[in-house]
Amino acid sequence: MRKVWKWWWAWQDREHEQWLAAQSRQGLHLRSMDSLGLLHRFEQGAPADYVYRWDFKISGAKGDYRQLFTDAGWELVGEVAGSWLCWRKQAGPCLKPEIFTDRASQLAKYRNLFLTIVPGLSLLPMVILDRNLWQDIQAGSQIATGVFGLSLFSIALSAFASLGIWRRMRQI
Amino acid sequence: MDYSKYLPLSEASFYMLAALTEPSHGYAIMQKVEAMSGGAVTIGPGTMYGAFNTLEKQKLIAKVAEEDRRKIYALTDLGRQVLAEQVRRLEVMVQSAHAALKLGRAA
Repeated sequence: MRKVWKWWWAWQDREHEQWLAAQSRQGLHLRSMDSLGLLHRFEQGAPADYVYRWDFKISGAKGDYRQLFTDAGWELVGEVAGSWLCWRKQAGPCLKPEIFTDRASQLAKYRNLFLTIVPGLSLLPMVILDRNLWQDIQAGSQIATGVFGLSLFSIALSAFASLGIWRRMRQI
Repeated sequence: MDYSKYLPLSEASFYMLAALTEPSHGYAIMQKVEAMSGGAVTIGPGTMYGAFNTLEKQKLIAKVAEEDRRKIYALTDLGRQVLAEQVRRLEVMVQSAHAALKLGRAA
């Protein structure tokens, strides 16, 4: 068992899939991940040609969804934040399996991701930023300054996420 | 009746409706579609799951049973009419294109 820490953003999923496949070609196969998706636990084995694919599903891998993927030969090897699901399937010399086989469904995944994270990140500051906060900041309140800083961070993260997801969608 | 809001069907939806003329679950549909298209069309589980939701919402298919977490769907009457209309439109397109290509070769 080998543990590897790796930082990555949700819209870098394709690169992350390639990285996992490269690990498998060296005999390191993903067995599980922590709930933040940063800690990867790999199992040592024979090198194998695997395809890894991330799906984003807010309700997680349950019921008929999970059954359909399993029937189609995909194995769930990672679950992040209960809604990012890492599926794996054996690849062949002329067989590259995909979970999404058309453009519309690929785009829908990123549209869902966008609608899940961006509105929350941009609405949060609107809720907490009000006129009283400015007065408190001027009066020297550290809490008010902290709230203001957090709001700026949230807006910046929202813009960063939007840009990342938009770029990914343009490549499809 | 005007079927325009359902058309054109995506390739995945088209083949799923064609496969659902007999009630089936997802994996059976995948196999049927591969066989029907001579291996030319593969529908991944992510694409199929999304299409199930869309087609069910549009009432083109309906869940008729559930076995071991596998939902079994069947074509509705509306689904059958939409598929037939899509086929009719495709036939017009194919005939037009054949005629146009033949004309192009003759000139």
